[in-house]
Amino acid sequence: MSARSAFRAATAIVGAADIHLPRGTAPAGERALVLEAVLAACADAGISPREIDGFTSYAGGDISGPVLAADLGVHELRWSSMVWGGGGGGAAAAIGAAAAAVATGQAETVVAFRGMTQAETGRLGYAKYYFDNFYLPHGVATPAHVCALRTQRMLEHDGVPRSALRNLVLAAYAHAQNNPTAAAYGKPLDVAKYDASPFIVEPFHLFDCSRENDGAVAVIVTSAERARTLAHPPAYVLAAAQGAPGGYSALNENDTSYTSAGFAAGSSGQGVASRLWAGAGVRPDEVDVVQVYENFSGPAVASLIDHGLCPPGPAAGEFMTVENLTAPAGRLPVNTGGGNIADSFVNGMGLSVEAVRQVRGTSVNQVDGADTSLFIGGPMAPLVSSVLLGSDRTL
Amino acid sequence: MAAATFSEVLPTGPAHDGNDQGFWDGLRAGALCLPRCAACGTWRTVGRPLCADCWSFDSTWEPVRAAGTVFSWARSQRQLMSELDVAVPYVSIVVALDDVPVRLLGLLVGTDQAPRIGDRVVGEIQRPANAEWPVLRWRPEVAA
Repeated sequence: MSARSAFRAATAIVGAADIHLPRGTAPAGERALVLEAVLAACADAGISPREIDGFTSYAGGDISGPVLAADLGVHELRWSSMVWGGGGGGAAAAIGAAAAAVATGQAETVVAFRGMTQAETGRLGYAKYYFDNFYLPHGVATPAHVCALRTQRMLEHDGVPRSALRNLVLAAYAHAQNNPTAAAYGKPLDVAKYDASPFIVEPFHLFDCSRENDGAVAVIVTSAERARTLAHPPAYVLAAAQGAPGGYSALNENDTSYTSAGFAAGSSGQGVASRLWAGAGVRPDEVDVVQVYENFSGPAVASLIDHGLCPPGPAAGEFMTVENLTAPAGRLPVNTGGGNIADSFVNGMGLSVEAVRQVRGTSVNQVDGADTSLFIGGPMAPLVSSVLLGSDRTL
Repeated sequence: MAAATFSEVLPTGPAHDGNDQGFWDGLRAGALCLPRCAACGTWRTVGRPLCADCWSFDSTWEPVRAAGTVFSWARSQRQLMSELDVAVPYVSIVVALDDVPVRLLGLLVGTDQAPRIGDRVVGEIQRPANAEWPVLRWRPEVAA
């Protein structure tokens, strides 16, 4: 497949930085936070900020490529693109866009970033950007409501057991106990405490919901050739995919596959997940570690099902055990830094940094011999995306 | 729960592009009306200018029986919007209509019980005091 040979491992993530603070506490604005993250990612990679020649992001905002290029004093701006639609669903697609720019020779060193502060973005948990007068009069006003409707059908109709959601959360909390920067550090969670926590929007308990932080995250993508000359082992971009199946998204809850997170195949026979696996030449059972965006636990489970990492229906319960999901020795360790639920939430982009750490071997919950590291962007959004990273042993 | 930063008016009524005008006019006239392609007869979801089956821009608004089954549901236990004239907890539902292949979002009223998927519901047009346009609310169907 020529597309695969052109893109697979042509680029790599060489620098990564994750800055997060409790929401509402950022000492400066989003722009300053983003710049701080970009500088930290450059320092991590061992490159000068002047060498950055492109910027990608997602979910909107005014901090554009030309703004950052001027602030940083780059030699030349060659690429500036925003993933169009889907909010946090575009998180991995921002990395995919950066890799596409580099792989096609249109730029050399591109930053994929996201920053947000409560003062400027507000709270995403209360965001009404997507919801019109076919949603709002019915009390369906936030991502929590829509994800709850879809998750309830996944539980009640598809037969995915409630334990699958709970165990994903418990695994994230277990991982957070080793991560001093995680919000849940020192605050372990058990079944009783989870079950006793209040419902926010049923079926979601408090602990099923992501956190919200002030923060900024930046990852730097450059060519594989250059990556091999830099400070860290490259996290090669093996494949990236974005989109949604036909008959999904922006249809007022008339989606054909209502309980899909959006990565599954539609009538074309292909979907974000299948295109990712084909592009990487990797099978789902060859993935070593996963960072899956959990706006809420239910959509994250749906994402794992869509990617073929977890069986659908009642069998999901047999796979989704705390033991299977926990590093270092679980069958499929998930959200090894604590994820959006137990670590921090900067629109999900922090997960990409943990995905890079796993390839480098520097996670606080390192999976032994992690060679393939998957980052799944925001689920049950109108557009979704995934990116698969790999070590040099995958080349 | 003080969340008074939002408007106190229930958001109702047609969008600026007018693609859903017939839906709201229908409710005012006392009927659930949905758009149907004038060229190929395909039922559409509300608010789209084009038929995604034959790409005709022409549609008619046809009355549809407000009866169906619960496709999914979610019970809000924490107030995330203040416009609702219903205090938490409240149950939002996706209704699969009996007669046309369209789902509608709605609010389940007239019961304290959470529904189950597949439960039968019937719609009734209500005009909340804080709304400019009527809305469709749903109740459990009472067995005959």
